[in-house]
Amino acid sequence: MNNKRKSHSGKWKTALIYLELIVMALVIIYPVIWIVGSSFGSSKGLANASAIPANPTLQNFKDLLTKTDFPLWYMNTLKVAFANMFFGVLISTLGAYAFSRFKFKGKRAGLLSILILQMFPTFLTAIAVYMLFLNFGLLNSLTGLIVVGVAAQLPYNLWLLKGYLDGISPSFDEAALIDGASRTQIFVRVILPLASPMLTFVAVTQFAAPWMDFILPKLLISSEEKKTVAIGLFSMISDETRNEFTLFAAGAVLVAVPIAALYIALQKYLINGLTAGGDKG
Amino acid sequence: MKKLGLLSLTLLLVSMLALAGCGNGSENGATGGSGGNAANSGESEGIQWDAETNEYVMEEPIASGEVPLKIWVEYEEYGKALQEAFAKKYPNVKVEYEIVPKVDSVERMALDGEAGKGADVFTTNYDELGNAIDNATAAPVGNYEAALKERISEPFINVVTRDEQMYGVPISTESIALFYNKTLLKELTGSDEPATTWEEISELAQTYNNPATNQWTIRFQAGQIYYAYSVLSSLGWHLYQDGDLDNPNFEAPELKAGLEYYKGLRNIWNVNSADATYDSIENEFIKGKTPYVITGPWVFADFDKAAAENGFEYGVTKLPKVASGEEASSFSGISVAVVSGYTKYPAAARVFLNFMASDEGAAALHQSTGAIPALNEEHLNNVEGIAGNEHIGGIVAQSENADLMPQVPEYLYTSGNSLMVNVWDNLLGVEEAQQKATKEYTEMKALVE
Amino acid sequence: MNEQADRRAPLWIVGIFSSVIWGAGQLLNKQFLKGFIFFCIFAGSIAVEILTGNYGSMPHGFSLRENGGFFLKGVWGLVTLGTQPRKMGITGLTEGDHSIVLMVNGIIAVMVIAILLFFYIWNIRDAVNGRKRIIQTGVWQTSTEYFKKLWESMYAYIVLSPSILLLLFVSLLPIVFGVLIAFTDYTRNNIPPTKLIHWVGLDNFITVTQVFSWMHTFLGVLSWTIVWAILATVTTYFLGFFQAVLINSPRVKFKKLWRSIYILPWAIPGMVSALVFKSMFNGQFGPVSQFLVDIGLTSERIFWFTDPSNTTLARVMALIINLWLGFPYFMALIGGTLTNISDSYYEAARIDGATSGQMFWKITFPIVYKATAPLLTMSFVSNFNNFGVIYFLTGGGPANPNYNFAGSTDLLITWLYKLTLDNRLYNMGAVMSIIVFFIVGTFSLWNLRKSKTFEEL
Repeated sequence: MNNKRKSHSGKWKTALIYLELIVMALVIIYPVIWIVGSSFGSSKGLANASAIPANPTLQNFKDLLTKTDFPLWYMNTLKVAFANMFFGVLISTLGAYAFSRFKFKGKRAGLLSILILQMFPTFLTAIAVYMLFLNFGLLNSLTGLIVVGVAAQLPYNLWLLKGYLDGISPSFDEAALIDGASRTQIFVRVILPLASPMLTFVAVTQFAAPWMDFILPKLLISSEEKKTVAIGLFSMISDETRNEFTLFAAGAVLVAVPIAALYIALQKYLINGLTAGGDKG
Repeated sequence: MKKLGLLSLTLLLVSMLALAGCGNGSENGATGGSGGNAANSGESEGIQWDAETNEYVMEEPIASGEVPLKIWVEYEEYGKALQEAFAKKYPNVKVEYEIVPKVDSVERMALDGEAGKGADVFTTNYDELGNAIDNATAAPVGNYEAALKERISEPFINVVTRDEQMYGVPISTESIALFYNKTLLKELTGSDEPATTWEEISELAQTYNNPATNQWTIRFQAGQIYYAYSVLSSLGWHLYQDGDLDNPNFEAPELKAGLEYYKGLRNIWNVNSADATYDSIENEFIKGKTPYVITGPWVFADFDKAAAENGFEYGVTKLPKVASGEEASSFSGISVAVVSGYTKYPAAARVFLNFMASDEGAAALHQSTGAIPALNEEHLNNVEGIAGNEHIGGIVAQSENADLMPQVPEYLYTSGNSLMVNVWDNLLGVEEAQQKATKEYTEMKALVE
Repeated sequence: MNEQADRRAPLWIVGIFSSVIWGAGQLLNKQFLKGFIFFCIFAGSIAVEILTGNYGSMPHGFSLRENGGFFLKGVWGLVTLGTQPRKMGITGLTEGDHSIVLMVNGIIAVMVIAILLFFYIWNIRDAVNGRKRIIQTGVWQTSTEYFKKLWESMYAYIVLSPSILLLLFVSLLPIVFGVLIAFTDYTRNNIPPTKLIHWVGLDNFITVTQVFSWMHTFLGVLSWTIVWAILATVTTYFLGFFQAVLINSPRVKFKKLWRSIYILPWAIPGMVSALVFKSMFNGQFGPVSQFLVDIGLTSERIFWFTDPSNTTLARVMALIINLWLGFPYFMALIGGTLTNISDSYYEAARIDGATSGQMFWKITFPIVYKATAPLLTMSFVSNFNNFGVIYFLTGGGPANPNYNFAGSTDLLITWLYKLTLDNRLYNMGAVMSIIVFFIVGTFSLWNLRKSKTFEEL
């Protein structure tokens, strides 16, 4: 009897969960379809956009690929995104490793300063970064964008990864230490695999950022050959007299593709990072 | 703490390398402030004016094509067209263009100029020019002034003039006008002649408006002083009446009358100011369901396409006036081309600037982007494809009624727009709103000084 | 230098050697590589100064402005902010000083000098301590041994160095610059390069307090900003948490599919989504209003973002849209954290007969919260200064006639930008961003203290 009731309520629960998931999915998908739909729209403005455009056309994509330097921007952004991902993950994991596993003078102060740095409203940042890059020869270079991209998310990533590593018992590294591994070996062989869910997460955020940042990059990049997708796209809707929203939406759809693809591809690392049965407390 | 590390050692070495690299790589850059302009000192004697041809004598490196002249334009097509047209006249000179949106160019030039890598000539919007003069990215036009004043109408010249010097050349007019759907009007009133007064529009609205289905007789951005100005000026109010930038004239009795009248227009366009977005306005006209909209020439391409697809004809004419009032004025919205204060080739840059306003330059603009060159009527008609174009005629007719506007401070728009919103959305009484606008304006001004 | 002199050289001699020529003391200690490296830094800095300066021609004697290089001119520029404005003429700008450029270059120079100073002191102390060890033990340590030891003892600093360098120059520099601007007269009437900027001390702070009529706007905007920052953080966090837990549930199949769907808002540039929402929820012309009227759910259109008489609606809508944009981030983040929780906890709880609700609140939530509490604070901070969503969605509207230059959904940061950047009141903007910084700082430090993050650092 009891058992039966339990499974009955279990079914209800399952149904409720699915209901919620489906409703949420609809709420998510509808605006997304709207954006995708508008990229197939035939007029230029945003108000004309609709989920299912009246005269769907591939013209926006064609224009984007032939009349603008979109393919070039795309390649540039890909380069920046991958470099951003690699260096962002490397630098922040190393830093988080230090903050999580070592005791050293200035640790507390360091962590707090990182937090406090985040709290200052970025005001006139552009001028300062511009002059910095001018001094160091990083203007109009993709390297400069990577430096900005890695630095921008570094404080957040450091805290994120530190928190995650704190949650992983040091018994693993201790075991390796006893086996005679060096700290760098521990980092590569123990920490990196254990932290893979969070590394994946950081990797995806690092990858995604350069596709969307345009405020600072548009000042730092001047030549057409170095432009990223974000710089190029946002100049299409720069003001009232230049409102090519459908073209912009087509670009945005093409931007979303690699980010979504990367996330979907990396999902299993994000979720199955830890080997089952390990002591994770 | 002697042990505090190898780490810093490495980082310092890295930064040293970077510094050294920079010393070699971008010499101009490293010295920033004073070095960026080294070239100017060599030519400080001034630039030469050839009285026979009425041109500046281009610097040798540019004239010979050794160094390209660099320009910033917003549209690729325009850059290309200018390049070709200029090459016909000056075959030896090389011109390079980069795409920089007009809204970004002044900010970028302030930085790129210091870095010694900005363009020699760039384009911007009329409302950014004051900023450009302040931060010295805009250099005076020089000896071309007289010739340009003959080709360009006074309201436009006034926009680019400060202290009796021109700091840029009006390139294209973006003045607003009344756009009307001829086909629809004929259907509704039996005539495709547009209304000349707001009263006529109101009359049509009595029968045509249907708020439930969003069917409106006229659409415009009600919350912006830029659009509302035509109504206010028709009732006798003029911004900065004596050209005194201290007094925006917000408390004038004419403005009160104007605002009362403007508020009444809510009867025919009953939409919250923030919902009346420019894309909704343009889009509804495209569908062919709105007889009148107020917008600017940037919509030509879209409207032409839509008119062909949806089978209607449209016209462009002067903004409607109030029946009892004067002709409606408007602000002169223009794009401006500017010689950079940082250019190393001031003569060549000015030759190019002047060329942009020449018949050939204007033709390049019009043919590549469809924009309307900011020339006066006489010279405009020399440009291929302009004469006889009714749509352009309408914009030009309105822009000749433009008020003389110097470079107004940014807060004029902030306080002016909030005045229009407060009145249109009925948040404050007219007089209260006027007082608030004056207060905001003067407080802001005090904060600046 | 002979062996004997070496051995007899007292501490202070070595110290003075190193303080005059970097690395010289190390040389005496026979640590050649180390000495060489210190010397290279020394020589490198001097080379940079000479190469970037103008030491070749000094017709009027040495002047920092004319001849100084990266370091000397940098410091000079930061102190004076320039002495000679440029002038505009028909040939363009004359030569002269650009106060802002000088200021930024000066800050960079001071930062590099600080790093060099640190090496300088290290260099001297190292020479003295090295010598001390030799005298005491008689053992001559080689550079290689030293570096090996250094690698051991300094490991944490070494792996942190790239982070420190990046944060110092890319994050701290703009902040220092932003703070310094608050003490200058950099406004629209005083724009370089044709005008010079000056240090004005605390004048701007006094001016700000004098604008009393704006206090009302400030307090109103501030209270909404705090409400916004808290709610925006909490809602995105919990919805993300909730979705992550649901998907993680053993009852749910096609986990990958659900996750892929929910991640979409994250993959689309936020500004695009914000603009699309703005259009969808246009009160008069948007399809949502129209749809509700058409199906008879509402008799009139709902002015989601633009109804001045109903500011709460606009605020709630902004929060909801922010939720749509922001929850995938937390979902992905927490999804990763959930896998960090050992199944053994749940098994133990199940044996004790705990309900799934109990398991969530007693096991899942505390563990995830502990791992993410500092991030919640950081998220609060970024929402507090969230420029994008409000700016693109409502532009600050609906209009509020009681405010000066602010609308009902304006956040402190959007108001500040409209007020100061649009009007080029850079010094006032800097003053206000310092004020905003203190407000956010106090609030989040208080919050962190409560969450006990500090004790665990």
